[in-house]
Amino acid sequence: MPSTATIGRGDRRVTVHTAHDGTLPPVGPYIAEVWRRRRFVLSMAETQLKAANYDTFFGQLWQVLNPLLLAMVYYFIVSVLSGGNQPPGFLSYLVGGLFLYYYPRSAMGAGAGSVVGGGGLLLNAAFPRAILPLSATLSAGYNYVNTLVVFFVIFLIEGGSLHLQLLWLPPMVVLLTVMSFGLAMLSGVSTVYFRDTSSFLPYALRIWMYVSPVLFTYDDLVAQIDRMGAPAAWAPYIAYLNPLVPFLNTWHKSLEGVNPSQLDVLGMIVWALVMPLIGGYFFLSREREFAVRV
Amino acid sequence: MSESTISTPVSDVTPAPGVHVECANPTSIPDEDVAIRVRDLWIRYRTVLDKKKTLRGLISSWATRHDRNDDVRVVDAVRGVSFDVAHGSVLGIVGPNGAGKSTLLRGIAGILPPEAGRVETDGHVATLLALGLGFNMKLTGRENITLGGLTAGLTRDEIKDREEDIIDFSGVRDFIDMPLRTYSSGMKGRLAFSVSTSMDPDILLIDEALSAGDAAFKKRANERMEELLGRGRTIIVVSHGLSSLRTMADQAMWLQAGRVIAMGDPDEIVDAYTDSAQTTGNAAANDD
Repeated sequence: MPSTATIGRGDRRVTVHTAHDGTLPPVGPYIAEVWRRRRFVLSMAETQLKAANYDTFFGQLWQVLNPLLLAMVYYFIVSVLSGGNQPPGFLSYLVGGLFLYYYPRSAMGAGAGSVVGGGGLLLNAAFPRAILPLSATLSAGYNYVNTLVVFFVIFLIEGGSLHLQLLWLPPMVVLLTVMSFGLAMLSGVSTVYFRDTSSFLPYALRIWMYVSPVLFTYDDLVAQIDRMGAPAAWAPYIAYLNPLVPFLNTWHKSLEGVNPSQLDVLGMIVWALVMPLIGGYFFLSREREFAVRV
Repeated sequence: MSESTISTPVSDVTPAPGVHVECANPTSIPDEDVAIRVRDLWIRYRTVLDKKKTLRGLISSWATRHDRNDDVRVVDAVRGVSFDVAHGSVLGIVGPNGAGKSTLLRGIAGILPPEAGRVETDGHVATLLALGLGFNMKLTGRENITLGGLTAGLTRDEIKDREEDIIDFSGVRDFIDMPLRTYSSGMKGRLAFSVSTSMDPDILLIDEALSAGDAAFKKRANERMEELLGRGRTIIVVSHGLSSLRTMADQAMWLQAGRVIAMGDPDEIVDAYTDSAQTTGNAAANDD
């Protein structure tokens, strides 16, 4: 029997709480409850956005300024390292990839703190706890969409042209959101049991960027895997073990007016299924314990 | 209400761990009248406010081959509590700090999972707990009303309908569009009280809330609670304001070390608790 259930008593519906047995709550009613509280989710996401840079001079502008300045730093570094020989359009390649990478990254970062930092809320109200990483993901997603606007300005200034293949962008963003939510649940639940997660995370996430085709191309990545001794035929597939690869490929290709490969589409779908399943399992089966542990 | 007797000896304030004491248990209420039913409820905290599990701790506990569970401090905050509360009645809970009063309320609200036993609640539960609804200090009072309402499961329209009433009742209208960090603790308490009592709850769980407001607000708060009771709502109130418990509660419970010491008529329970506190000097049972 799940730890919280509703039983009938006469014509009444009585809520019953019993001991937590470490199993998943019924997933259907859980999702229905999250959906019923969708305004709460959005309001939480909005709150996080507002509270984030509430006392700085540029305020909300920092949501865009931060990744933009970072892109400039990386552009500078890559230019220095390569002796200034950049292919045309490299700035938008770099900025676009970096912005995309920053979406799951900030969802995981905010997700890590969402449960542990939800102290007062956690101890004062009963609600499906997945709302916390979900709203962290959505506020990261809102930021991503804003940075996309900045990206397209840079893209057009650099002489890029818009292709029909950009229609791949909306489904890609949706799948990326679903995957990021899974990752945010995973980092959220890890932080409850292992507080160092939030300290380790930035380093792990930085390595994630260096093994993703953000500062270099997918072909560079495959060549590198090849050089490290993997059988040449496998190298392109090994690259897809990095969840970011199918998303970055789809993004870069659609900007060039090329459709993503079947492997790209399949990769995005698989990762958008696997991450929420793993994250959701760990999160939901433990969330009843959160209030006694934070 | 049930008989007003104190059925457990007052001297038995700290039963030996693991010993189950059968407490005053007004089971005479028929099923259909029960708003809240608690049966042999145990609530256990693990490592709360204690050392967090960190990598260093993990490595050192491996290195020294200690059982890793050694680090887990377990506190049984509620130990085998059973009682019923009828629809439309007020249960007051008294007890020294650390008796498990707030934990018990959180268990009833479904915020903390039971270690054992069960809790049944008939109807929508609203809480007014010590931490102020999880208010966000950086947001304005008005934004916090919205957030508090959404947390409680209300729709945006329902909140808009109540907003003016909430602001009026709280008496913080001049500050309503300023960040909550500029509020005094009394103002925060009043706003929290206004929000949670405006949620139209069937069951309202209040933790020490009335200590926040001034005399005038206390009077209005009592009227608001009377009004809720008049509509058949059920209230559990944890209070150090013992005189208000005497007048407001239909029934009182004395909780200590996670166990029910006695349950019955508010006057008798409050007297017994005050006497005990004075003789043992272990509690701040100040009558206001």
